[in-house]
Amino acid sequence: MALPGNINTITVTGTFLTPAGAPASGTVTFTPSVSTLIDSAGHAILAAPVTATLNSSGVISEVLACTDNTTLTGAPFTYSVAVALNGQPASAYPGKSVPHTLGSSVNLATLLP
Amino acid sequence: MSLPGDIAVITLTGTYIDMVGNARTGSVTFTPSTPLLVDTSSSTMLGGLTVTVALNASGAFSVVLPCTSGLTPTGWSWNVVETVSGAAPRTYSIALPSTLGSTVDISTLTPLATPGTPSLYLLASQLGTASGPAQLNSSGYLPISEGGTGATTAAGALAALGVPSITTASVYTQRAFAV
Repeated sequence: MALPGNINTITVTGTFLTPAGAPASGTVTFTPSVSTLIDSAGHAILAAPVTATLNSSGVISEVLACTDNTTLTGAPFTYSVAVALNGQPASAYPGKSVPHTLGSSVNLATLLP
Repeated sequence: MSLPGDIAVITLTGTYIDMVGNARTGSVTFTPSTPLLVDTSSSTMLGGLTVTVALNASGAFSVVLPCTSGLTPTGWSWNVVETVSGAAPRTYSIALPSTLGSTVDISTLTPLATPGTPSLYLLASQLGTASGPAQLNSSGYLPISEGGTGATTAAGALAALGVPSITTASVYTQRAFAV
C-alpha cells in the first residue's frame, strides 16, 4: 500500500561494495525516530522500520517519507540507518534526515557515515 | 565488478618463511577499522569487510587493497591478522596511504601504535570544592567537615552521620571538603 498522496517522499539509493570491489549483500534498515505519524486527513501512519535488501549489484532503492513533512504530526523526525553487510552485525547511523529539499532522490553516500 | 576508478588502491605483498627458509602456510586477513567507508566522488560505499588472502606455496601473498587515504571517514586503518604456521597469530594495524606508491611489501610497514589506556586527570584546583572530588588523607580517611553535617563538634558530626559511638574514629575539620 502506498503512502497518502499528501506526504512528501524521497527515493533513497545506495551502492555497497566489498573492499575488493565485489557487490556486497545484505540489508539496509531505516527506523524512524517516532512510532506514529498522523497526516492531515487524520490517517495514523505506523512508522515501522523499512528494510531494503541489496540486489545482486549491491544496490538499494527505497522510497521513504521525508523527515520534514509539514502535513504530518510527529515530524520532523529522523531515521536510524542500520547497514548489515555480508552477514556481519549491523552498523547503525542514527539521526539521519531526508528532507524534501534534497529533491526526489538522495544517495546514502551523501548521508553516511 | 571492481572498485570505482577514482578509489586509489595499492598492491600489498608479503612473504613468510621459517628460520631455515621454508615457506610457511597460513593466511592474512585485512579488515578496515571502520564498518563503512564512503567514496564521495563515485557515491559508493564500501563495507568494512574482511579480505582474506592465503599464502601460496612460496609462503607469499599479494592483494589489492583500497588506500587508507581518500575515503571517508578519514583516519581509518587496516587491521591485520597474520595466521601463519608455527607462530601465534599476530594482530596489528597499518596505514596504506597512496603516497606509498602502487605496491608495497608488508615487511616495510610500521604497525600503527596501539592506543593506550587513557589517563584520568583531576584538576588540583577542584579538590575540595563544593560538588568537586574529595581527597583521602595520608591515613586513608576521608576528611569530613563538621559544619557539613550540621554539627559543631567531631562527636556531633559522627552522630549526624549515623556512626556508632567509637573512640578511635578520626574526624578532621576541613571545611574545604563538603559532605
